[in-house]
Amino acid sequence: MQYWTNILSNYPYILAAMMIVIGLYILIFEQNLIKKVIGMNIMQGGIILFFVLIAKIKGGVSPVYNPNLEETFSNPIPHVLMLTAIVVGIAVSAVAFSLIYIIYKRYGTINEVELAMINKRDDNDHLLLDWDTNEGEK
Amino acid sequence: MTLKYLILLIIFLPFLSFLNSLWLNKHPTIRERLNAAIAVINFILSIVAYNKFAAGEFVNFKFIAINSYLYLGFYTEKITMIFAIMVNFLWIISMIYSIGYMYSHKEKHLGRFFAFYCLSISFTLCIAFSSNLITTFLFYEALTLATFPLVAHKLTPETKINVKVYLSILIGTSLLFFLPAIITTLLYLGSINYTLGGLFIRAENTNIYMVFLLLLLFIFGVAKTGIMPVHKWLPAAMVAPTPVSALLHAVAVVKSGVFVFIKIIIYIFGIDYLNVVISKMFTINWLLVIPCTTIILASIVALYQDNLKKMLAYSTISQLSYIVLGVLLLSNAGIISSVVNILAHAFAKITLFFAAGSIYVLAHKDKISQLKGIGRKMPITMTAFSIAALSMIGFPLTGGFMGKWFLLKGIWESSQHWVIFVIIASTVLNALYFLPVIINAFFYKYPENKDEAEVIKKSPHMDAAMIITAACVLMLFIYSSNFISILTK
Amino acid sequence: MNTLQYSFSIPAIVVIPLLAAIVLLFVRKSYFSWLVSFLTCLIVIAISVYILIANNFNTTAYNFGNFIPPFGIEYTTDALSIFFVFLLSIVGFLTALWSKGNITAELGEKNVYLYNCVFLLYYAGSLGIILTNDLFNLFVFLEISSLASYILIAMGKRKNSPLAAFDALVIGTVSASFYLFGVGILYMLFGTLNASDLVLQISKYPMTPILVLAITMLSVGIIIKIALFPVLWWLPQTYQSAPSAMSAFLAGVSSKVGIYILIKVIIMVVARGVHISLDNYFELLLVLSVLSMFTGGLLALKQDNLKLLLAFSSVSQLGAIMVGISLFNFYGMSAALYLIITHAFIKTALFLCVGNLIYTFGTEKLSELRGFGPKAQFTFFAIIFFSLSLAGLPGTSLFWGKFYLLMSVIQSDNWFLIVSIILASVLTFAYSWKIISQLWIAQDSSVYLIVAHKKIPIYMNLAIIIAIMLNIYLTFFPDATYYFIEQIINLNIVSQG
Repeated sequence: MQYWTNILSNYPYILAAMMIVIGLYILIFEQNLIKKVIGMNIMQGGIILFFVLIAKIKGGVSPVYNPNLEETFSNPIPHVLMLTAIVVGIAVSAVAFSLIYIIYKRYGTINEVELAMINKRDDNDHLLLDWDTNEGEK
Repeated sequence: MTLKYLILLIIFLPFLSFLNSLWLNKHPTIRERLNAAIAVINFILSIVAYNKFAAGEFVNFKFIAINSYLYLGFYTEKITMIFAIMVNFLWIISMIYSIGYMYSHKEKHLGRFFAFYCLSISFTLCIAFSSNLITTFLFYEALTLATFPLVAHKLTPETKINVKVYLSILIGTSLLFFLPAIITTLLYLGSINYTLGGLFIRAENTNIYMVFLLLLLFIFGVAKTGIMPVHKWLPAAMVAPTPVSALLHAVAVVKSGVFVFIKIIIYIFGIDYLNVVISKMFTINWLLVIPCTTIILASIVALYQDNLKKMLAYSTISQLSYIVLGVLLLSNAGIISSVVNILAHAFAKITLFFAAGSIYVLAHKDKISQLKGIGRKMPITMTAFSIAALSMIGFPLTGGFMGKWFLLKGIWESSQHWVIFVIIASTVLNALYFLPVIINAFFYKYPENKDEAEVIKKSPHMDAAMIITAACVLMLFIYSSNFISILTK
Repeated sequence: MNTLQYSFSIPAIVVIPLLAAIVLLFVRKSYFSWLVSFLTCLIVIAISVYILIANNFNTTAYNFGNFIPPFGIEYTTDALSIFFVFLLSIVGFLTALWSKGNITAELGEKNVYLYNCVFLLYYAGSLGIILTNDLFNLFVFLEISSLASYILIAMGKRKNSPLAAFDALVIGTVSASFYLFGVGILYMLFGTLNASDLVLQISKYPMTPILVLAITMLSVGIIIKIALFPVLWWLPQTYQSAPSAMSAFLAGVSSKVGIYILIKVIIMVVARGVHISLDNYFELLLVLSVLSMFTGGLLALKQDNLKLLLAFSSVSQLGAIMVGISLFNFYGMSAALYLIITHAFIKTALFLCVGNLIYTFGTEKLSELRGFGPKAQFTFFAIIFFSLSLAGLPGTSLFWGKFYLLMSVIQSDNWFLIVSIILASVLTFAYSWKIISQLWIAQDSSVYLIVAHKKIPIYMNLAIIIAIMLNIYLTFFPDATYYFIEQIINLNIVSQG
C-alpha cells in the first residue's frame, strides 16, 4: 500500500514521463511532418515539466529574499533554465515549420512515405537546383 | 663525409632521380643521362660506404621519433652493405637495359615509369638500412605502393585484374599478419629494434607456443618472400614491362622480402633462441616443411607454364624458398647459404628476365613453344639465358652451384637429412623446365617466315646489359669464397 | 587552478564568432562577410595559441558575472578543450578559405552573407560546447550549433536538401532532449550543473538505479549525436545534401564535437565520480563501435556517389575512434585523439576535393568522373593522396593512430576485437581503393567524355594545399601532437580519476 501511495503521490512525474513517451511515439510513427513537430513539442513539454517538478520543495514558498522570515524556498534555477529551454524549443519549431514549408513547395506533399517515394523515383544526385529561383510559384 | 651522411645520400639519390624523371618529362635525353649518372654515383658511394664500414665505422641514428620506443631509424651491418652494393650495381645495368627496352617497345608515359622505378630503388635501400621493425614495415608498404604504378603501367583489362591480386595479397598479408605480429612483439618485449643475438633471449617466461605463432605470422606476413600459399602476387606482377619484372620482381622486391625475413629471424628471434623453442616443440624441424613444399610445388607449376615470364616467376618462387629454407635451418651455415643464394639468384634471374624481355621486344615472342631455333637468330641473348638457366639448375662453374653447395652443407650440419631429397628433386625439376628451352633454342631450325614485318631487331643497350650480368653469374662462382670470408668475419 | 592574465580571452573564443554573426546580419556585403568569417577563424586560432602558451596545458576558468563556480556559468580551458578548439578552428579556417571561391557560385551572390552568418553561428555553438563547464549551457550551445547546421544543410542545392535538414532536425532534437533529460536527473540528484562540482557530488553518494537512468539518457543522446551504430542513417544524407563547404566542415567537426561531449560528460564527470566500475558500459559501447565500423565500411563500399561514400567512411572511422575511447586505456585514448585530429583534416580535405569536382564537372558520381584526371590534375592528385591517407596506409598521418589503436587492442587481449579491427582496416583499404581505382585505373577517356565547366579559383586549391601540408606535418612530425595528447591524457583523463 505504501508503495502505491508513493507512486501516486508522485503522479506529476508519471505525467512527465508519459508526455515524453507519447511525444516520442508521435515523432516516430506519424507520417505527417507537422504532426512530427507536434510530437517533438510534446516531448519537450514533458522534459520541461520534469524540470519544473524537481524545483518544487514541499512547503517551499516563492524564492524572494526576506530577512525576517525563516522559510524554505522553492528552487528557482530550474525555472530559469526552462525559460531558456522553451526559447530553444520555439526556435527549433520555427526552423522545422519553415523547412516543412519549403518541402511542401518543392514536393507538393508533407507525408513522409510519399516524400520517400518521390525521392526514390528521381535521382537526387543530379537535381542541382538553382537556389535563387527554386522557391517560385509551382 | 661521415658514414651517416653517406647513407642518407645513398637513399636520397634514387629519390632525386624520381623527382628528376617527373620534372624532366619533356626532355627525355637529359632525364636519362642524369638518371644514369645518379645510378653510377650511387654505386660508387655505396662502395665507399662499404669501405668505411669495413674499416670499422658504424652508424645507428633515428629520425621521426614518436616516443622512446617508436621511431624510424637506420643502421649499418654486413648483409645490408652487400645488399646495397648489389642493388645499386643492378640498378645501373637495368637502367641501361630499360632504356633499350622501353624505346624499342615504344612504351608511353616514360617519365612516370622511370620515376617510380627509381622510387622503388630508394625504398628498397631504406628497407635494407632500417634499424627496427616499424621502419622496415613502413618502407615495405611504401615499396608495394611504389611498384604498383609500374605493374599497372599498361592499363589493359588483364592488367587491372592482376593489379588487384598484386595489391590485395601484398597489402592484405602485411595488414593481417605482419603488423599485428610487430605490435605483439612490441607489447611483448617493449622493443622492436634489431639487436644482435635477438630480442627474445632477454624476455622472461615466454610462452613457446606464442613465439611459434608469432613466427608463423612473420613467415606469412612477409609475403614478398613468395612463400606458398601467399605467392600469387608474383605471377600477377608479370604483366609489368620486363625491366620491372627483372629488377623489381626478381631482385629488389623479393630480395627485400627475404632480407626482412633474415633480419627478423636473426635479430628479433635470434637463432639460438629459436633452436631452443623448436627443439622443445618438435623432434624434427617441421618449419622446414613450409619452404620445402613451396620449392617442389612451384617447380611443378613452372613445368606446366607456356608463358616464359610466368615460368620465370614460378621459378623465382621456388628459388626464393631456398633462401627461406637456408634461414630456417637456424644455423650459421644456413644463413651464409642464404646470402650466397641471394646474390646468385639475383644475377641469374635478372639475366633470365633480360633475355625474356629482349625476346619479347625484338622477336615478339613470349611463349616457350615459340622459341624453336631462336638461339641462332639471337645468339647473345640465348647464350646469356643459357648461362643463367644453368646457374638456376645449379650447374658447376656458375653462382647457383655455390648457393646449392652451401645450402647442402648447412642441411648436413643441422642434420635434417630428409631435406636433401627435396633439394635433389627440385634440381631435377629445374633441369626439366629449363633444359628444353635451351635445347629448343639452339638445336632446332628457326621456322622461316615469309612475312617481311617479322624482322628481329637489334638493341645494343639490351645486349650489353645481358653480357654484364651473365659474366657476373660466372664470376660469382670464383669469388663467392670472398663473400663468405666477409660474412664469417 | 591558475589564473590567466587576460582571462576574458576564454569567453572571447565564443563571443567573437557570435558577435561577428550578428554583424553580418546587418552588413549584407558578400566580400565583407567572407572576410569577417575568415578573420574570425584566424582570431580564434590566435587566441587558442595564446591560451596554450600562457597556460601550458593547465586548467583555467572564467566565471561569468563573477559568480562563484558551482552557481554561475563557468568556462574552462584545459588541454583537452584547447585541443578541440585547435581542431575546430583549423578546420573552420580551411573551409572558410575554400568557400571564398565556391559559395558565390554555389548559392548565389546574395546568399553569401547568410551562409557566412550561419556558419559563424555554427562555429560559435561548437566552440561553446567545448569551452563551457556547465551541463545546461552545453545543451544550449548544442542547440545553437544544431539549429545553424539545419539551416546550412537546407541551403544545399539538391532537391532533397530541406528534407535531409528536417530529418537531421528531428534526430538532433531527440538527441538533445535525451541529453537534457539526463542532465535534469543529475540535477535532481545532486543539485548542481557545474561539471567539476558534479564529480565531487557524485562521488559522495552511492550508485542508485536513478543514476543509471541518468547515464543511460545522457549516453543515448550523445550516441545519436555521434551517429554510432543503430542511429547512423541520418549522417550520410546530411553530408550529401549540404553545400560543399558545409559538408566539409560537418565531416570534420560535427561528430568530433559529439565525441568531445562523450569524453567530457561520461568519462570526465560520470566515470570519475561513480564508485562502481563502468566496464560493462564501455563494453557495450565497444560492441556498438565495432558494429558501426563494419556497417559504415560495408555501406561505403556499395556507394557510387563520392560524397555518400566518404560519409559512410566517416561513420566507419568514428567507430574506430570510439573503439579507442571505449577501451579506456592509455593507448586507446591516445589512438582515439590522434585519429580524431588526422581524420578531421583528411576527411575535410577530401570533401573539399569533392567540392572542387562538383564545381568543375557538376557531378560527384564515381562512374561519371572516370578519367577526369588530366582535366583537373591538382584535384586528382589531392584525391589520390588523401584517399591513401584515409586508408591509413603506412607512412601517412592516419597510420600512427591506427598503429596505436592496434596496440591498445592487442594489449586488451580480446581476440574478437583484434580480428575485427584488422578486418575493418582491410575494409578501409577496400573503399579507399575503390575511389582510386574508379578515378585512376578505370580511366578510359575515350568513353567518358567529361567536360570541365569552370576553372578552379586559387582560394579553393590553396585550402587543399594547406590541408596537404598539415597532413605531411602530422605524418613526419607526429611527436609534437603525441606530446600534446599525452598531456591531455595525463592531466585531464587519468590523473584526477
